[in-house]
Amino acid sequence: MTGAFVWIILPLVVSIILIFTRRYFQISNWLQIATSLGLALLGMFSTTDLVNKTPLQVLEFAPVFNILGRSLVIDSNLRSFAIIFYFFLGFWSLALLIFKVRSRIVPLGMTFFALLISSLAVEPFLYSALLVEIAVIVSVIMVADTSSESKKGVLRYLVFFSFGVPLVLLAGWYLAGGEITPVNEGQLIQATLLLGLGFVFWLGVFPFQSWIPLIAEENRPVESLLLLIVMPVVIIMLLLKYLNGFVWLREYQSVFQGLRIFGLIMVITGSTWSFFEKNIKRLISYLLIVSTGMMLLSIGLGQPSGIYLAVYLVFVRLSAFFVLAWTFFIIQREEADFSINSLKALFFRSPAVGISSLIAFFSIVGMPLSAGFPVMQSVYAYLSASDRWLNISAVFSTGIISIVLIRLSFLVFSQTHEKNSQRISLTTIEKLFCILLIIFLVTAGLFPGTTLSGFEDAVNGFEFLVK
Amino acid sequence: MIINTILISISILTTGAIILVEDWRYRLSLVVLIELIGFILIIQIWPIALASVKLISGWMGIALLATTFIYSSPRNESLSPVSSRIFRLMLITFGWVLVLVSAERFNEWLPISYTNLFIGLVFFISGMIYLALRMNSIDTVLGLLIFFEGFDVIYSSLEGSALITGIFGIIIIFICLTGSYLEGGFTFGGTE
Repeated sequence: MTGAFVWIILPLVVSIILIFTRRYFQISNWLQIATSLGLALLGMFSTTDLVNKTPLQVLEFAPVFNILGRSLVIDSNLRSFAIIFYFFLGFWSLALLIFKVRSRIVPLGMTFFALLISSLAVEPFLYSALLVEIAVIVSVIMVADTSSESKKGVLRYLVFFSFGVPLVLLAGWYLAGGEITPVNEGQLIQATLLLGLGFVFWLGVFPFQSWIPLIAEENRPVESLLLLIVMPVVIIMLLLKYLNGFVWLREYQSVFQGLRIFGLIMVITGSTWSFFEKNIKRLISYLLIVSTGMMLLSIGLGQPSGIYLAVYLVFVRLSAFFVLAWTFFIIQREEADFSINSLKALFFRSPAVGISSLIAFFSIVGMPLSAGFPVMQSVYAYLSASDRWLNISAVFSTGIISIVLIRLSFLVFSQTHEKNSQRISLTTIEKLFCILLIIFLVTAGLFPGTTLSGFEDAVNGFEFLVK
Repeated sequence: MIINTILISISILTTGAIILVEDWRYRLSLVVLIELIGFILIIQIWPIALASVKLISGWMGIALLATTFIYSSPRNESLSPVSSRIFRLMLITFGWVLVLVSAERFNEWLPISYTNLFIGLVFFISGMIYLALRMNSIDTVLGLLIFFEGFDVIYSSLEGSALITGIFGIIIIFICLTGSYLEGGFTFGGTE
């Protein structure tokens, strides 16, 4: 059996089955949770790299699956990445079950994740752009709220990703040609420009970021945040794969300079916009832009440590925004108000919800003792060593976000008689879920090594970038 | 040579018309024509079976959109003012001029037939202009179809892979399906 069959084809088949059983939503959701967590656990106890097998890995899967003359390769990198992603989907689906939310994530979430993993697995990887486009189309159906008056966000998302596809495909064609014959300086610049522009569209670098807050604003956070959290992570992994795969791309200094500049633009614009934002959904989307920018900044360092930092930031992103998404789902369930005023007296209305939202916010900004602290601190240290002005700009931007978060903290702990009496009703299992999330984030902050080391495996295989 | 000139002329006229016409029936017909022009260009390079996949998938997608339009009864679009039409015509003319002056330069990068490159670029730019001018779901999908047809004409001349053809066909149909979904052509369960 091949890895691609387990982590790509099997989820697609399950997803198709779930379409037919969707009428019985609870059963379908249970099936999706079981499959996702099962696939993640299977990844932990199996290997596709027979040479570096550990005693825990009792199962073996062939890494290569051939299809129509092309291959889907699940190497040790991608296996680790699949574990992370299926755990994330499993827990997201579990949250759907706990909060009794009916969503198109069951079953389209599984299709979406399988397609994203296949886009990272396909060889030659210039085909990945096409699979990303299919994943984007599936995610539009998953996210789009057809009852919403405006669909600008999903339409822009579709258009910008579609604009990126030809650019990345053409760059891939150029670069693939370069594997056979040497590429001259002019061709390298053209390929780099095409690739760069493609990734700018895909990552939502200013001024192409407008779809991110729009998607968050126009659609339900349960679906939209899943998309906004996951999609840039996959694009970053794709970028790393391109950098690792093409020797003269990673040796071209302008590439890493460009990544640093794009990262800085995202961090500065995201933090500035968040400072003026009054809508919680849009505010979270700007924080997501900052998070992506930080990842680009880390990769732009052009050092192995930068690559590791980027993947640590993935952990912070997945965990903190997961908590935020579900915290705001609870708030939204109580009142359909999305202004930051909905956070007023949150702590007194529900201590668990108030604390979990604050810890998540502080993790994102990298406050001491939070999950984000060791990572952000290392990012600043490396940025400082690399370029002082870059570091000052990044720290200044984080400072702006900190001011926003302090403002939010005041709101959460503010006491108003009217709001205090409106207690948020949570079932026992919902309370337990919130408490577990708090414990998880605090533990991740206190013992960063244990949680972060698992993420290193997702990039260990990029031998030219990390060694 | 004459055929090439005719194809270029038709593609320019078609893209000009699609920017100007208001009736959705004409717009869909013009996208059908664009797909046909793409097919005629690709068939000169590729086997008929592979080229047909592109044509059929494109037409299937448009048929899907037409069905959605019929059942969802789109609003009757009122005629836009003359000034708006002149602006749109000037914009697409600018696009054609841009292609005219840059096609030869692009041909140095992309070693393909000049006709394919020119028509591909015309569709590519027209698709972008169309997307910039119209905002609703179906028009976004039509814009993407024109845009992708332009890219397809160029990319097919560079890369002759059956897998890419297949995936591109799926993408075109999926995009139309998405447009249909966003316009309420079908539902995918409800949300609570």
